[in-house]
Amino acid sequence: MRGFDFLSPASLSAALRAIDGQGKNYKILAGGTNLIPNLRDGAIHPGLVVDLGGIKTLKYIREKDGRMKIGALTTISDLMGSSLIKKRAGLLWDAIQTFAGPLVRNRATVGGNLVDASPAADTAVPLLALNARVKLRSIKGQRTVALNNFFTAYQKTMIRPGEILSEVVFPIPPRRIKHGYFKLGRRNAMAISVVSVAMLLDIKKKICADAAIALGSVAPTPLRIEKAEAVLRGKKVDSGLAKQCGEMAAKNASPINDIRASADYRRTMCAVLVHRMICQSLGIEHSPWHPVKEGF
Amino acid sequence: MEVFSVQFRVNGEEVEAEFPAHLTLLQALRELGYFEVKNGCEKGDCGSCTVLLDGLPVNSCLVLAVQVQDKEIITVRSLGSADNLHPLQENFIKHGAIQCGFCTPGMLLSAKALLDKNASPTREEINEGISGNLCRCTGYVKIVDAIKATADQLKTNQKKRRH
Repeated sequence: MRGFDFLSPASLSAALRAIDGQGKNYKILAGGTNLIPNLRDGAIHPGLVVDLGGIKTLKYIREKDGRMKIGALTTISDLMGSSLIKKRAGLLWDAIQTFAGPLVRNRATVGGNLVDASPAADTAVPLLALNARVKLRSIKGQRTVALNNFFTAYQKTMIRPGEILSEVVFPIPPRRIKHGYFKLGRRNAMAISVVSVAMLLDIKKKICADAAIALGSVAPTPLRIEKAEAVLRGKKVDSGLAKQCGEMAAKNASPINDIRASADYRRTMCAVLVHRMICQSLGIEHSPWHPVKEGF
Repeated sequence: MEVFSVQFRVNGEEVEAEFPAHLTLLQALRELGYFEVKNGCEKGDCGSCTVLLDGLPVNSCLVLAVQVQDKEIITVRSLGSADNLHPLQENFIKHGAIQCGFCTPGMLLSAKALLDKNASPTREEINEGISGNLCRCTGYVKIVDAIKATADQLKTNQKKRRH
């Protein structure tokens, strides 16, 4: 690992002052679970690393005015230990159960997982479905952007030099809303997802009033599949409609071949998993679906 | 290159040392002679370098040495000694949960952290608790047996003490 300068500011404002005017010469250290291996591999060569670990005010989980606010330095283990997250953000809680392993979860942070902007980021997929927004602070002030706009390309985000992601916030879904999450990996623990699906479904009088569906590892960024959501809206959801929704999700994914799976397999799994999760979360009877056999 | 003076505690002992910013906690601990902290993958995949950092099990290869100012680190060395084994160590031996032994220090610390949090875990919870620690020899069954036996033993001891 090449040498670099190291700062461990005690406050967010001190951190913002430290990176102001540094251009792209610095890296922010949160949990370090990706940054430190990247430094070791020589994938990045920052002149300065700024550790946010000493900033206690960036570690919190709060419910306020119907919204959940999570400080960027909150670890995945903090979220797993939070009854607030378990009770009021079941989709996020379900998703983090399969986040890496306990050793990584004790270090990895929500803010780091989002800024890292991997298409497989395990918190990004449920947070996209939850309509989360992220707060970006800089020495000049702050701006809040929708997570849906935050990811711009593979491992690229809207963050500008001098900005630090300080908070994730999302509206707490009303209790009637059903959710479903599934992460397909090569193994149970420590897996990077092959395909992951998160969804929220609002059913009123058997009709789908609203739907939010997000997918991971099927495009350059984690993404919302709005065209698949539109298939469900205003209709009575049964297994047939869930299949149509799955097919639409697959059509709007742009997966690649990599060491974990082929693009074709991923596309097929989009259809299968979206169908399965809709049926499971709404308690609709369904039989296993083989889209390839049915000429999809 | 600039070095940083860092004070922290390892197994209850005060340590003060100077490290360059790029040294990982794993590298620093081994430089200081804590060879029980094993160097496996150096990217957080294998868990061989597990230590307890302020009570929580972490991969020491994913922490920079300069980040541990004022922190408390526990390595397997303080778990027990050759003539006074920790119940987990006794059961690892009894159940044949050690073959080559490379994963054992990390495995023991993850097991300890699990039992500290959950005194009577199910086999599934044990699987989950050690899921960040790779073992290429045992197939895990004997490790899970040993942890389960330790939990049962600690529970019986507690009951005995109550009567």
